Amino acid sequence: MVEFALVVGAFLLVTFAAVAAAFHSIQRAMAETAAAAGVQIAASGSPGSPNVPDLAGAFQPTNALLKSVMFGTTIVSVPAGQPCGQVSQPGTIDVCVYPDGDLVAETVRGRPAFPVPWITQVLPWSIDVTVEMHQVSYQP
Amino acid sequence: MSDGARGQALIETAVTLPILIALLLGFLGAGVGAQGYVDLNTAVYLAAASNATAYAADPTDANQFAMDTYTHTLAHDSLLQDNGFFCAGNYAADGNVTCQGSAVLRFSRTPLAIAIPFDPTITASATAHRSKYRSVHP
Repeated sequence: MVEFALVVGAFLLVTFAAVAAAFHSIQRAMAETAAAAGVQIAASGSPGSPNVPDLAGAFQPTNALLKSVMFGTTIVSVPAGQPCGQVSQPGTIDVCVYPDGDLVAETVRGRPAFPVPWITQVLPWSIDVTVEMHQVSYQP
Repeated sequence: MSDGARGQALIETAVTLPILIALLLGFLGAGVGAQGYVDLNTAVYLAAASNATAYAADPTDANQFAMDTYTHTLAHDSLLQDNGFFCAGNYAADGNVTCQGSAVLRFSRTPLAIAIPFDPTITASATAHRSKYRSVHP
């Protein structure tokens, strides 16, 4: 009986860890995809000025992709042009778009909420993804 | 419990526990591997897109755009170490360019190095189409 309880406990622990790791992988992969979608908009020209990157335009496509897997997470748009600070409080993801020389960078950083609320207090799983893209060149 | 039963329980635990630990590390390793592949794939995809948005008929400029995008994106990833990148194809307007990147997935930088004592090399490729209206360098 005791050994059965131990094995069942260990099995459940491994199963839970696998599900949690898989969920984190999905969220991180989506953060990468969302950042890539946003940075392509940002690296393109602004509607009124083709040679100025459209930094503010990156948030909408990023947010649309992120919210499909970030259950119960607040997605914050950091003012365009500012890099992200430290990882914010659990349940919050920051989206930052800023210039980096001739490139434009987009960072998705934070600690998303988890279906089991206490798990974010125990596991320090965070997402920190940055992608960069060269600005699109237009003929003057 | 008799000595025999106690010994059997010990052996069962000794057999079961390593399997469970191996399963756990396997799940985590697969997750980290997938993460590395997604990161490399994104860097190569964005690099190909950068190449296609540079001026037409200027391979040097287009390849520099792609290389800048690739190296800067990979630089933010502590798991991946650049192991080569190149683009080739038709750089004229309405042409396709294919880029390929290779990187070493550094399990040795994670606690998983205990279970995965080698750093595999992974590759990704992406093709981008340059618009037929893309202008040439002024």
